[in-house]
Amino acid sequence: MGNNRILLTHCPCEISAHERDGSSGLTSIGTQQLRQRDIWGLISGFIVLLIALCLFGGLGWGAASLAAVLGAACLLAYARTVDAERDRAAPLQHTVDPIDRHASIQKAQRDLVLALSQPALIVKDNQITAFNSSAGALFSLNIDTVPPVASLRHPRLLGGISDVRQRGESSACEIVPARHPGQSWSAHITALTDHQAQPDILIVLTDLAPVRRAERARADFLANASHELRTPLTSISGFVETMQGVAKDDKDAWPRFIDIIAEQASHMRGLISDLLSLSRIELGSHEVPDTIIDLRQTLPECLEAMGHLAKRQKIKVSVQWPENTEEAANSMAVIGAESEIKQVVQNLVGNAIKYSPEGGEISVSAGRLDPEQPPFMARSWEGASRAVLVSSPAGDEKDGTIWFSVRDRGVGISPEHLPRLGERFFRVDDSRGGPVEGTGLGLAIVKHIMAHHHGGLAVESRLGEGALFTVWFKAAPPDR
Amino acid sequence: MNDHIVTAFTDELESLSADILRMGGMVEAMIMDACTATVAVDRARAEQIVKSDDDVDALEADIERRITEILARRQPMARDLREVLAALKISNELERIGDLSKSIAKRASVMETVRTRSVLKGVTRMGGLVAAQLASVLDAYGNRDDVLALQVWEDDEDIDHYYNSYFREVLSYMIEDPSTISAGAHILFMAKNLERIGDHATNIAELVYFCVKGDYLNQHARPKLDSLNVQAGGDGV
Repeated sequence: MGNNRILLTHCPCEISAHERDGSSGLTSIGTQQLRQRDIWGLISGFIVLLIALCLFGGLGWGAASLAAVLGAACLLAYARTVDAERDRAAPLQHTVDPIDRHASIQKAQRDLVLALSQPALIVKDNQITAFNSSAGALFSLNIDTVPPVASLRHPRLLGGISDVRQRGESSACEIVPARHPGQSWSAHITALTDHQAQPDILIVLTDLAPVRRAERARADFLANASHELRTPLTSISGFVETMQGVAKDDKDAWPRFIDIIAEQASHMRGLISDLLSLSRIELGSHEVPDTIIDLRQTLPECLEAMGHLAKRQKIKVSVQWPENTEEAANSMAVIGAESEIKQVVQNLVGNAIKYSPEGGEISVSAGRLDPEQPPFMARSWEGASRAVLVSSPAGDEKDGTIWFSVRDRGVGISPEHLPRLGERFFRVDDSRGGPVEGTGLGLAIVKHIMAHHHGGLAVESRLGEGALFTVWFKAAPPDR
Repeated sequence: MNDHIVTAFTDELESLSADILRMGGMVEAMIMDACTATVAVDRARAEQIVKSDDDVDALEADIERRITEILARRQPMARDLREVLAALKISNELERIGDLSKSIAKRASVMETVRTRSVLKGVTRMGGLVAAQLASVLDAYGNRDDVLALQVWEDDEDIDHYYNSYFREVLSYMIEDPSTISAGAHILFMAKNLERIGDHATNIAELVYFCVKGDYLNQHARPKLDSLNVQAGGDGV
């Protein structure tokens, strides 16, 4: 009996087998016990009758006393079977009812399907007994009905289901739903119980759109990178050919050619080093930076390094951040990696210089914000459109944030281009004569670094009035 | 579906409707596969599609046999009769759609000669539109949803519009370069086949409406756009 019980609790299919038989094994055990009790009762009755016969002189006194003892023993035994039966019957009552058990399996299956975020459904016999809302939307199933399995319609999916039924293995297929011809889904079909002739089948679908998107992004990146690398290479080899051929003896023109070649070579070098640093940041993206950097030291260092660039374009750089006072001693310390923060500052200031007209002005500022204030509002600009390119996870700002922003007064960026700014090799408009030396990777690097630092990056701009880039970092805890 | 005293009859009707849906799924997949296979000049896949039309035909024959049996043995009335009649006619429509998809798939090898691949985008786009239309009407059939059927019936106009503009596009492509005329003609036939599939989908929508409501849809006739086509010089297709 114990064996039977284990089967019942662990294997739902056993239950349905019993259910189909009509009489469960457990019920027969119950009747057996009842019969045993009745036999004991009958024997006790006979013994009591014997005692009565003796008392009224039908039998001898010796027999009467023996009968009394036996009768008492039987009554005792009878009483004990009653107790034992009660003990056993109480827990059994719950596992016995196969309909209850069946319903609880169904409920568990439904809960399982509803708990999944992906489209999922359960097929039993020829019906879909459970499905979640996303599966309902994907296959247009009506929530109030128990739809037939044919409602799934896709021949590969239906074929997969009958395959799993026949062989009991799981199978997978890729489907393009006719309702949404642009999508593609991968379906996983698994048998839930394998002892039955008709097992319940679980189908879980995964959206392949992110995979497809990633594949396309990879292909695009490769195409872009090779295109960007080939452009300077073409001009280098073109000038080299000219020097070998037509201009072989025109030694006066050589210095001009060599200058162009050197310029293109340095452009290529810049591109490759940008690509390398991008891949380096991506490689280290799982290591969260933990050193404390004082921006009051780092920022002036970076700006000094950029000074010659600004001077060449006759651009005035105005700077504004908290004075180096006692009170502000800890106020500009952030958690980060120094080389990466320097790269952010250099790229942003470098971009501002590149896109400013000659003799223009850029302003660089930094400051500290209270935890409550949204960081990208640090220097809000009336009438400009804004895009947040990186934003740190919320609820992580108990120590406040430190922001840094660069404002230029160049041509500005139109609103529809703002969200795409951090994309690799994205340039707003080639025809507007942007700087030649740009690699198209600067902002992509900034975006990656800020994501790596759990910081943020926002851009605000208005056509013709320049752009404002703001980055923000987590401030270092004050006690460190 | 209503329960009958003879449960075997309910079972028969249910399995009939399930098989219509299964057939619909096969045909749906055929349309989309045919369009992608032709555009990608995938001969092996096109061959598969041509073969899979046999399965559709076999299923149609089986459904027809079963319907005859139901009509003879159960003599259905009212809603049941409409169910059975709708199933019979829908299976016919689906079989026709299967044939049209097969004829699209057969043109896969000709598409190799098309040099301007962008002209083929219209086939993929129109195939998607038509497949979505058929999917909606099959959903309407599965859920016995007359409102959705009515919507499909009205939306066929979009496909007609698209067909007309695509017709002109292919025509101008053929005028530009006479060496593309044979391929262009095949593209036009494919577009016409897709447009026909759209019409079959509207027929199914009418049948679903009839099955649910017991009323005919085509009495308030839908405006057809064929007259436009003639004006564009595209008559004779």
